[in-house]
Amino acid sequence: MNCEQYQELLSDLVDGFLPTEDRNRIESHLSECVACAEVRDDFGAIVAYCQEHRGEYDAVPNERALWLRISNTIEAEAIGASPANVPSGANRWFRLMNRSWQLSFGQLAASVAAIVLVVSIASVIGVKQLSGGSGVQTAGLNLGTVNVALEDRYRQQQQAIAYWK
Amino acid sequence: MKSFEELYQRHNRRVYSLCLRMTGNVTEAEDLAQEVFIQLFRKIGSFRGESAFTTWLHRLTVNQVLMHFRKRGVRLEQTTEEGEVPVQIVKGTENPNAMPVVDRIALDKAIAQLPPGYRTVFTLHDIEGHEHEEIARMLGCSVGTSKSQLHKARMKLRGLLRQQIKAR
Ligand SMILES: [Zn+2]
Repeated sequence: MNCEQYQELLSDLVDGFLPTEDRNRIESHLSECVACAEVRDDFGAIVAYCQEHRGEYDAVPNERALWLRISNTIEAEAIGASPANVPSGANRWFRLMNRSWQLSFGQLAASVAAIVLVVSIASVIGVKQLSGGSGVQTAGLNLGTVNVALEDRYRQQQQAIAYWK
Repeated sequence: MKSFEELYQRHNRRVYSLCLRMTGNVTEAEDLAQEVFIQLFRKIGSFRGESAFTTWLHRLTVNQVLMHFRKRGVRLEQTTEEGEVPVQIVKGTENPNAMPVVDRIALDKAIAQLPPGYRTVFTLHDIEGHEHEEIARMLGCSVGTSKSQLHKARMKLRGLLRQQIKAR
Protein backbone atom coordinates (compact mmCIF):
# COMPACT_ATOMS: atom_id res chain seq x y z
CA MET A 1 0.00 0.00 0.00
CA ASN A 2 1.19 3.53 -0.75
CA CYS A 3 0.59 6.74 1.24
CA GLU A 4 -2.50 7.62 -0.82
CA GLN A 5 -4.13 4.33 0.08
CA TYR A 6 -3.17 4.66 3.74
CA GLN A 7 -4.59 8.15 3.91
CA GLU A 8 -7.88 6.87 2.53
CA LEU A 9 -8.22 4.84 5.71
CA LEU A 10 -7.39 7.62 8.16
CA SER A 11 -10.97 8.78 8.77
CA ASP A 12 -11.99 5.24 9.61
CA LEU A 13 -8.97 4.95 11.87
CA VAL A 14 -9.78 8.17 13.75
CA ASP A 15 -13.45 7.13 14.06
CA GLY A 16 -12.51 3.67 15.30
CA PHE A 17 -14.07 1.76 12.40
CA LEU A 18 -10.98 -0.19 11.32
CA PRO A 19 -10.63 -3.88 12.11
CA THR A 20 -7.60 -4.73 14.26
CA GLU A 21 -5.59 -6.15 11.37
CA ASP A 22 -5.92 -3.00 9.24
CA ARG A 23 -5.31 -0.85 12.27
CA ASN A 24 -2.04 -2.58 13.08
CA ARG A 25 -0.87 -2.27 9.50
CA ILE A 26 -1.68 1.43 9.27
CA GLU A 27 -0.20 2.17 12.72
CA SER A 28 3.09 0.65 11.69
CA HIS A 29 3.10 2.80 8.52
CA LEU A 30 2.27 5.90 10.57
CA SER A 31 5.16 5.23 12.91
CA GLU A 32 7.58 5.71 10.03
CA CYS A 33 5.73 8.12 7.66
CA VAL A 34 5.66 11.69 8.93
CA ALA A 35 3.30 12.92 6.18
CA CYS A 36 0.58 10.36 6.90
CA ALA A 37 1.04 10.77 10.66
CA GLU A 38 0.48 14.49 10.22
CA VAL A 39 -2.84 13.91 8.45
CA ARG A 40 -3.88 11.56 11.23
CA ASP A 41 -2.96 14.19 13.85
CA ASP A 42 -4.86 16.92 12.00
CA PHE A 43 -7.95 14.73 11.73
CA GLY A 44 -7.62 13.92 15.40
CA ALA A 45 -7.39 17.62 16.29
CA ILE A 46 -10.44 18.52 14.18
CA VAL A 47 -12.57 15.69 15.52
CA ALA A 48 -11.52 16.34 19.13
CA TYR A 49 -12.28 20.04 18.80
CA CYS A 50 -15.74 19.32 17.41
CA GLN A 51 -16.51 16.85 20.18
CA GLU A 52 -15.33 19.21 22.93
CA HIS A 53 -17.47 22.02 21.59
CA ARG A 54 -20.57 20.04 20.72
CA GLY A 55 -23.66 21.74 22.09
CA GLU A 56 -22.18 25.23 21.82
CA TYR A 57 -24.31 27.35 19.54
CA ASP A 58 -23.98 30.65 17.77
CA ALA A 59 -26.29 33.47 18.69
CA VAL A 60 -28.76 34.68 16.10
CA PRO A 61 -27.45 38.12 15.00
CA ASN A 62 -30.74 39.75 16.03
CA GLU A 63 -32.79 37.34 18.08
CA ARG A 64 -35.64 39.77 18.73
CA ALA A 65 -35.98 40.80 15.09
CA LEU A 66 -36.10 37.18 13.99
CA TRP A 67 -38.80 36.46 16.57
CA LEU A 68 -40.87 39.37 15.26
CA ARG A 69 -40.54 38.06 11.71
CA ILE A 70 -41.70 34.64 12.86
CA SER A 71 -44.58 35.82 15.05
CA ASN A 72 -45.83 38.26 12.40
CA THR A 73 -45.93 35.50 9.81
CA ILE A 74 -47.74 33.13 12.16
CA GLU A 75 -50.33 35.73 13.16
CA ALA A 76 -50.88 36.79 9.56
CA GLU A 77 -51.41 33.15 8.62
CA ALA A 78 -53.86 32.58 11.45
CA ILE A 79 -55.94 35.55 10.34
CA GLY A 80 -55.65 34.67 6.66
CA ALA A 81 -56.80 31.11 7.32
CA SER A 82 -60.02 32.12 9.08
CA PRO A 83 -62.34 33.39 6.30
CA ALA A 84 -62.89 29.82 5.08
CA ASN A 85 -64.57 29.06 8.41
CA VAL A 86 -66.92 32.03 8.22
CA PRO A 87 -70.52 31.40 7.15
CA SER A 88 -71.35 33.55 4.12
CA GLY A 89 -73.97 35.56 6.02
CA ALA A 90 -71.37 36.86 8.39
CA ASN A 91 -69.01 38.19 5.72
CA ARG A 92 -69.83 41.79 6.44
CA TRP A 93 -69.31 41.25 10.13
CA PHE A 94 -66.19 39.28 9.47
CA ARG A 95 -64.69 42.04 7.36
CA LEU A 96 -65.57 44.51 10.08
CA MET A 97 -63.93 42.31 12.68
CA ASN A 98 -60.96 41.55 10.46
CA ARG A 99 -60.18 45.24 10.28
CA SER A 100 -59.95 45.42 14.04
CA TRP A 101 -57.78 42.25 14.17
CA GLN A 102 -55.22 44.02 12.08
CA LEU A 103 -54.93 46.68 14.76
CA SER A 104 -53.56 44.43 17.48
CA PHE A 105 -53.65 40.96 18.83
CA GLY A 106 -54.65 42.25 22.25
CA GLN A 107 -57.83 43.66 20.75
CA LEU A 108 -58.61 40.29 19.25
CA ALA A 109 -58.32 38.68 22.66
CA ALA A 110 -60.50 41.42 24.16
CA SER A 111 -63.14 40.94 21.47
CA VAL A 112 -63.20 37.19 22.10
CA ALA A 113 -63.71 37.83 25.80
CA ALA A 114 -66.43 40.40 25.07
CA ILE A 115 -68.29 38.07 22.72
CA VAL A 116 -68.11 35.16 25.13
CA LEU A 117 -69.45 37.47 27.84
CA VAL A 118 -72.28 38.80 25.65
CA VAL A 119 -73.27 35.31 24.53
CA SER A 120 -73.34 33.93 28.07
CA ILE A 121 -75.27 36.92 29.44
CA ALA A 122 -77.71 36.54 26.56
CA SER A 123 -78.21 32.88 27.44
CA VAL A 124 -78.76 33.67 31.11
CA ILE A 125 -81.25 36.48 30.48
CA GLY A 126 -83.17 34.23 28.18
CA VAL A 127 -83.64 33.87 24.45
CA LYS A 128 -87.25 35.07 24.75
CA GLN A 129 -86.29 38.68 25.34
CA LEU A 130 -84.03 38.61 22.31
CA SER A 131 -86.72 37.50 19.87
CA GLY A 132 -86.67 40.94 18.19
CA GLY A 133 -82.91 40.92 17.83
CA SER A 134 -82.32 37.36 16.66
CA GLY A 135 -80.41 38.63 13.59
CA VAL A 136 -77.93 40.39 15.80
CA GLN A 137 -77.53 37.32 17.95
CA THR A 138 -76.92 35.09 14.90
CA ALA A 139 -74.23 37.41 13.60
CA GLY A 140 -72.72 37.57 17.09
CA LEU A 141 -72.60 33.79 17.34
CA ASN A 142 -71.03 33.50 13.89
CA LEU A 143 -68.32 35.95 14.82
CA GLY A 144 -67.91 34.07 18.04
CA THR A 145 -67.39 30.87 16.06
CA VAL A 146 -64.62 32.51 14.02
CA ASN A 147 -62.88 33.84 17.06
CA VAL A 148 -63.36 30.65 19.01
CA ALA A 149 -61.90 28.66 16.08
CA LEU A 150 -58.83 30.86 16.11
CA GLU A 151 -58.59 30.71 19.88
CA ASP A 152 -59.02 26.95 19.71
CA ARG A 153 -56.14 26.68 17.33
CA TYR A 154 -53.92 28.74 19.61
CA ARG A 155 -55.07 26.77 22.64
CA GLN A 156 -54.25 23.48 20.95
CA GLN A 157 -50.81 24.78 19.98
CA GLN A 158 -50.24 26.04 23.50
CA GLN A 159 -51.21 22.68 24.97
CA ALA A 160 -48.89 20.87 22.59
CA ILE A 161 -46.08 23.33 23.31
CA ALA A 162 -46.62 23.14 27.05
CA TYR A 163 -46.72 19.35 26.90
CA TRP A 164 -43.47 18.93 24.98
CA LYS A 165 -41.61 21.55 26.96
CA MET B 1 -48.09 32.87 21.57
CA LYS B 2 -46.25 33.43 24.84
CA SER B 3 -45.33 29.76 25.25
CA PHE B 4 -44.29 29.50 21.62
CA GLU B 5 -42.03 32.48 22.19
CA GLU B 6 -40.49 30.63 25.15
CA LEU B 7 -39.91 27.66 22.87
CA TYR B 8 -38.23 29.99 20.40
CA GLN B 9 -36.06 31.48 23.16
CA ARG B 10 -34.96 28.03 24.22
CA HIS B 11 -34.16 26.59 20.81
CA ASN B 12 -33.38 29.42 18.40
CA ARG B 13 -29.59 29.22 18.82
CA ARG B 14 -29.52 25.53 18.21
CA VAL B 15 -31.66 25.81 15.08
CA TYR B 16 -29.80 28.83 13.77
CA SER B 17 -26.36 27.30 14.36
CA LEU B 18 -27.26 24.15 12.49
CA CYS B 19 -28.59 26.21 9.57
CA LEU B 20 -25.46 28.35 9.65
CA ARG B 21 -23.09 25.38 9.62
CA MET B 22 -24.99 23.67 6.84
CA THR B 23 -25.25 26.74 4.61
CA GLY B 24 -22.16 28.70 5.63
CA ASN B 25 -24.19 31.88 5.17
CA VAL B 26 -25.67 34.13 7.88
CA THR B 27 -28.59 35.48 5.84
CA GLU B 28 -29.61 32.09 4.51
CA ALA B 29 -29.31 30.67 8.01
CA GLU B 30 -31.63 33.34 9.45
CA ASP B 31 -34.22 32.83 6.70
CA LEU B 32 -34.09 29.08 7.23
CA ALA B 33 -34.36 29.39 11.01
CA GLN B 34 -37.45 31.56 10.49
CA GLU B 35 -38.98 28.93 8.22
CA VAL B 36 -38.16 26.18 10.72
CA PHE B 37 -40.05 27.94 13.53
CA ILE B 38 -43.03 28.64 11.29
CA GLN B 39 -43.09 24.96 10.32
CA LEU B 40 -42.71 24.07 13.98
CA PHE B 41 -45.77 26.13 14.86
CA ARG B 42 -47.77 24.46 12.10
CA LYS B 43 -46.65 20.96 12.94
CA ILE B 44 -46.24 20.93 16.68
CA GLY B 45 -49.73 19.52 17.13
CA SER B 46 -48.71 16.50 15.08
CA PHE B 47 -45.64 15.78 17.20
CA ARG B 48 -46.34 12.48 18.90
CA GLY B 49 -43.26 12.09 21.01
CA GLU B 50 -41.81 8.91 19.53
CA SER B 51 -38.51 10.77 19.80
CA ALA B 52 -37.28 13.58 22.03
CA PHE B 53 -38.51 17.03 21.09
CA THR B 54 -34.99 18.27 20.32
CA THR B 55 -34.39 15.31 17.99
CA TRP B 56 -37.65 16.06 16.22
CA LEU B 57 -36.79 19.73 15.90
CA HIS B 58 -33.31 18.82 14.70
CA ARG B 59 -34.74 16.64 11.95
CA LEU B 60 -37.21 19.37 10.99
CA THR B 61 -34.26 21.76 10.66
CA VAL B 62 -32.10 19.39 8.62
CA ASN B 63 -35.04 18.70 6.29
CA GLN B 64 -35.67 22.40 5.86
CA VAL B 65 -32.04 23.02 4.87
CA LEU B 66 -31.98 20.04 2.51
CA MET B 67 -35.18 21.27 0.86
CA HIS B 68 -33.55 24.66 0.47
CA PHE B 69 -30.53 23.00 -1.20
CA ARG B 70 -32.81 21.09 -3.56
CA LYS B 71 -34.65 24.28 -4.51
CA ARG B 72 -31.33 25.94 -5.24
CA GLY B 73 -30.29 22.95 -7.32
CA VAL B 74 -27.47 21.97 -4.97
CA ARG B 75 -26.79 18.29 -5.40
CA LEU B 76 -25.28 16.73 -2.32
CA GLU B 77 -24.22 13.52 -4.03
CA GLN B 78 -21.85 15.62 -6.09
CA THR B 79 -18.70 16.39 -4.22
CA THR B 80 -18.66 20.00 -5.36
CA GLU B 81 -20.62 22.23 -7.63
CA GLU B 82 -17.84 21.92 -10.21
CA GLY B 83 -17.48 18.18 -9.84
CA GLU B 84 -14.96 15.98 -8.13
CA VAL B 85 -12.19 17.81 -6.32
CA PRO B 86 -9.12 15.64 -5.94
CA VAL B 87 -8.19 15.37 -2.32
CA GLN B 88 -4.66 16.49 -1.76
CA ILE B 89 -2.48 13.59 -0.86
CA VAL B 90 0.28 14.63 1.44
CA LYS B 91 3.57 13.20 0.24
CA GLY B 92 6.61 14.88 1.71
CA THR B 93 6.15 17.40 4.46
CA GLU B 94 7.55 20.88 4.37
CA ASN B 95 5.84 21.70 7.64
CA PRO B 96 6.21 18.94 10.16
CA ASN B 97 4.39 20.82 12.93
CA ALA B 98 1.53 19.18 14.68
CA MET B 99 -1.84 20.71 13.78
CA PRO B 100 -1.89 24.27 15.03
CA VAL B 101 -4.71 24.96 17.41
CA VAL B 102 -8.11 24.64 15.78
CA ASP B 103 -10.21 27.53 16.96
CA ARG B 104 -13.83 28.38 16.40
CA ILE B 105 -13.25 31.28 14.02
CA ALA B 106 -10.79 29.34 11.87
CA LEU B 107 -12.98 26.26 11.79
CA ASP B 108 -16.18 28.18 10.97
CA LYS B 109 -14.38 30.02 8.20
CA ALA B 110 -13.04 26.78 6.77
CA ILE B 111 -16.41 25.00 7.03
CA ALA B 112 -18.07 27.85 5.15
CA GLN B 113 -15.61 27.30 2.30
CA LEU B 114 -16.44 23.61 1.90
CA PRO B 115 -18.66 22.52 -0.99
CA PRO B 116 -22.26 21.94 0.24
CA GLY B 117 -22.05 18.15 0.15
CA TYR B 118 -18.90 18.01 2.25
CA ARG B 119 -20.20 20.70 4.58
CA THR B 120 -23.47 18.89 5.20
CA VAL B 121 -21.89 15.55 6.05
CA PHE B 122 -19.14 17.14 8.14
CA THR B 123 -21.71 19.19 10.09
CA LEU B 124 -23.98 16.23 10.70
CA HIS B 125 -21.18 13.82 11.66
CA ASP B 126 -18.40 15.74 13.35
CA ILE B 127 -20.29 18.74 14.69
CA GLU B 128 -23.69 17.27 15.49
CA GLY B 129 -22.48 13.76 16.25
CA HIS B 130 -24.72 11.69 13.97
CA GLU B 131 -23.78 8.18 12.85
CA HIS B 132 -23.23 7.49 9.16
CA GLU B 133 -26.37 5.32 9.05
CA GLU B 134 -28.54 8.24 10.22
CA ILE B 135 -26.86 10.63 7.81
CA ALA B 136 -27.34 8.22 4.90
CA ARG B 137 -31.04 7.99 5.79
CA MET B 138 -31.43 11.76 6.06
CA LEU B 139 -29.61 12.46 2.81
CA GLY B 140 -30.92 9.45 0.93
CA CYS B 141 -27.45 8.20 0.09
CA SER B 142 -25.42 5.12 0.98
CA VAL B 143 -23.35 4.76 4.15
CA GLY B 144 -20.30 4.45 1.89
CA THR B 145 -21.06 7.81 0.28
CA SER B 146 -21.51 9.44 3.68
CA LYS B 147 -18.16 8.03 4.83
CA SER B 148 -16.27 9.07 1.72
CA GLN B 149 -17.83 12.57 1.78
CA LEU B 150 -16.74 12.93 5.40
CA HIS B 151 -13.21 11.82 4.62
CA LYS B 152 -12.93 14.25 1.72
CA ALA B 153 -14.45 17.01 3.85
CA ARG B 154 -11.84 16.48 6.56
CA MET B 155 -9.03 16.42 4.00
CA LYS B 156 -10.21 19.67 2.46
CA LEU B 157 -10.80 21.21 5.87
CA ARG B 158 -7.28 20.48 7.10
CA GLY B 159 -5.91 22.05 3.94
CA LEU B 160 -8.03 25.17 4.51
CA LEU B 161 -7.05 25.37 8.17
CA ARG B 162 -3.37 25.07 7.32
CA GLN B 163 -3.72 27.77 4.68
CA GLN B 164 -5.25 30.07 7.29
CA ILE B 165 -2.41 29.38 9.70
CA LYS B 166 0.15 30.14 7.00
CA ALA B 167 -1.61 33.40 6.13
CA ARG B 168 -1.51 34.66 9.73
ZN1 LIG C 1 2.56 7.61 4.27
